[in-house]
Amino acid sequence: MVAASGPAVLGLVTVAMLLMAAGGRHPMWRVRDFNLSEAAGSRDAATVVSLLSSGEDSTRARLIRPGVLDTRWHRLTPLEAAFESRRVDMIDLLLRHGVTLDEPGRVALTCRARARGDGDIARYLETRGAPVSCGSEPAHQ
Amino acid sequence: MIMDAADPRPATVAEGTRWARWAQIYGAVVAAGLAFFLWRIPVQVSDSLGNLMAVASVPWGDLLRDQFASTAFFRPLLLAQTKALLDASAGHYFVVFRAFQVVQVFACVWLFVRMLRVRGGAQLAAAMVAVTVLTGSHTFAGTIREAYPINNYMTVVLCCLAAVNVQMGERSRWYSDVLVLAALTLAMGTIETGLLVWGCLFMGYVAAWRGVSRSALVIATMLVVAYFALRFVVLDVGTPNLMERSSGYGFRRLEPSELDARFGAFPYPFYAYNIVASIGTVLFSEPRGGVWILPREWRAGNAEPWMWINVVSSTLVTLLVGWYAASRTWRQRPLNWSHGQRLVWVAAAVIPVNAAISFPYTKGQIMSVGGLFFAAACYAAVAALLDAPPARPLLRLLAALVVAAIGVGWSWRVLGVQHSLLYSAFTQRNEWAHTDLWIRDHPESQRDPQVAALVEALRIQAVSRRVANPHADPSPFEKYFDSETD
Repeated sequence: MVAASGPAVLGLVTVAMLLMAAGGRHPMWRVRDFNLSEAAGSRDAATVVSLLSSGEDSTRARLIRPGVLDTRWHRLTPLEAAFESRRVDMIDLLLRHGVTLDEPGRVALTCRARARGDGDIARYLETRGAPVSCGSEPAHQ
Repeated sequence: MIMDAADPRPATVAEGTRWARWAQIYGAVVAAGLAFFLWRIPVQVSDSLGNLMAVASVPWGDLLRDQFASTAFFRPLLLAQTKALLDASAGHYFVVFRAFQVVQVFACVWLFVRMLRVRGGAQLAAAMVAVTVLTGSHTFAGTIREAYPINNYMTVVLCCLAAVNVQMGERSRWYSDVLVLAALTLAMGTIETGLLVWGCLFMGYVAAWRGVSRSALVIATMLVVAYFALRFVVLDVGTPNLMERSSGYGFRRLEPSELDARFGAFPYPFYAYNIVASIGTVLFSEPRGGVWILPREWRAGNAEPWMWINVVSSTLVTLLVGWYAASRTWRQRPLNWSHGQRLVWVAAAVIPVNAAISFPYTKGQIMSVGGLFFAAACYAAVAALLDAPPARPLLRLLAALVVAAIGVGWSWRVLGVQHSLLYSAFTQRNEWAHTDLWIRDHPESQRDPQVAALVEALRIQAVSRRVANPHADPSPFEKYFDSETD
């Protein structure tokens, strides 16, 4: 009956998805294993904390696959990935969990944030040290 | 008694049972689709952790006594349910609380389908549509997306469904009366919308359902009177004021300070707005949490497809139910009403009463009982239309298109609810990554070793779960799924 066509399709789709889930391939529920940098770049705060707790090196740059930040491959540290994803909460999380940010690095990120128009990130980074004046300090790599 | 398609037809018992069984199977499939995602959502931090902390190492007597001493809210049995599950969990917090929630969802759908009384093919089709209206609604989504760690609005929904199912029986029995009174007591003691159980019983009695005795209805009424006396006279609990929380008004949310500045001297226009907004959210899916999202976004050129899907699908159901109500004969003894008329009658009463109870602020899940009966009314209307379609070909085609659009639109909304649960799993797991901040704001959680151990166990159980990341794997249908959480 036409009236029940929508609900019938929903029922069939639901059954199909649950059968696929039994094989670990639910179409809506795709779990992927991310490294620390990928997790930091994709707002996965819990995975970041879990990996840091297990001893992952927070200073090492890692490959970030396409689709996480944008359509390209990247090799970034977790802090850089959080910065590129424009998530001040992730930057704060990393710093709270022991990731270090030296003064030249803080200044460089603050200036990059200002140049990019990320006012919330710039303001957050400025609270972690002296006021930042951009343009006089050399860029930090 | 006048029959329409929403009535149990005079067929063989076996045949009627077969159609009902298929309807229940369909409901179970839809519930299973939702349960898959529910099972993957960690126990949430906000609201939930505070409640768990409040019951973790508190004796039962102290807990109940403290609940009777609260202000603004009178929910003496709310934390009792949480403590009962916590004590029974033996450390398996996630399994117990999520299993409880999953059972609630299956029970809700089962009781809902049972309430419809499916006995034929047209009714089966209508029931399938009604199940999608029930589970695809944002009012229902809120009851399963959030849990504190028990969703109290779902408790009320179940109590209403249980009461109505019992009341639909052919005659009352002492144990059915006891069951209904227990449901009413549990619901009222859990949250304010629990009063709707009495509303369902009263309107059901007026509609000539006699599964609950007149004595039980009198006792239920006395319980409600006692509730009000206890709340407003004996304990002087009062009602929430404007400073309790933010609420939607017009095109945005107003913070408590803004609400107080605008309406503090005379809050009744704000209360009236909340009541109208709550009715609107059930009938038209707008406004949402008191905020007119579609008009606002349409003016800004940002209206997304899911907003239109929601409004159109809800409006079509409302129009169809309106047609059904207008085309029935009501000026007769309720004993002669059809089953469908009784469902619409209860819906017509429960929706505004539900809205009236939520006068202090608007939130989708507060209207979950109204949404439930909106779906029941949809069943009555669709069943009637399928059983007796218009004679004229053009009208028959229009009716078929309307019902098909309703079925497709609401089925899509159910997928949207699944999608929102995916986001909930990710978001609520991430909340546990910031437990250090929560502990900083709640240092008392670390003074009691039992509570500290509870928090740490929940954190580990949450963070160790593997969940899908919707930001890394966005669905191509993002703009077509409801993303609003009201």
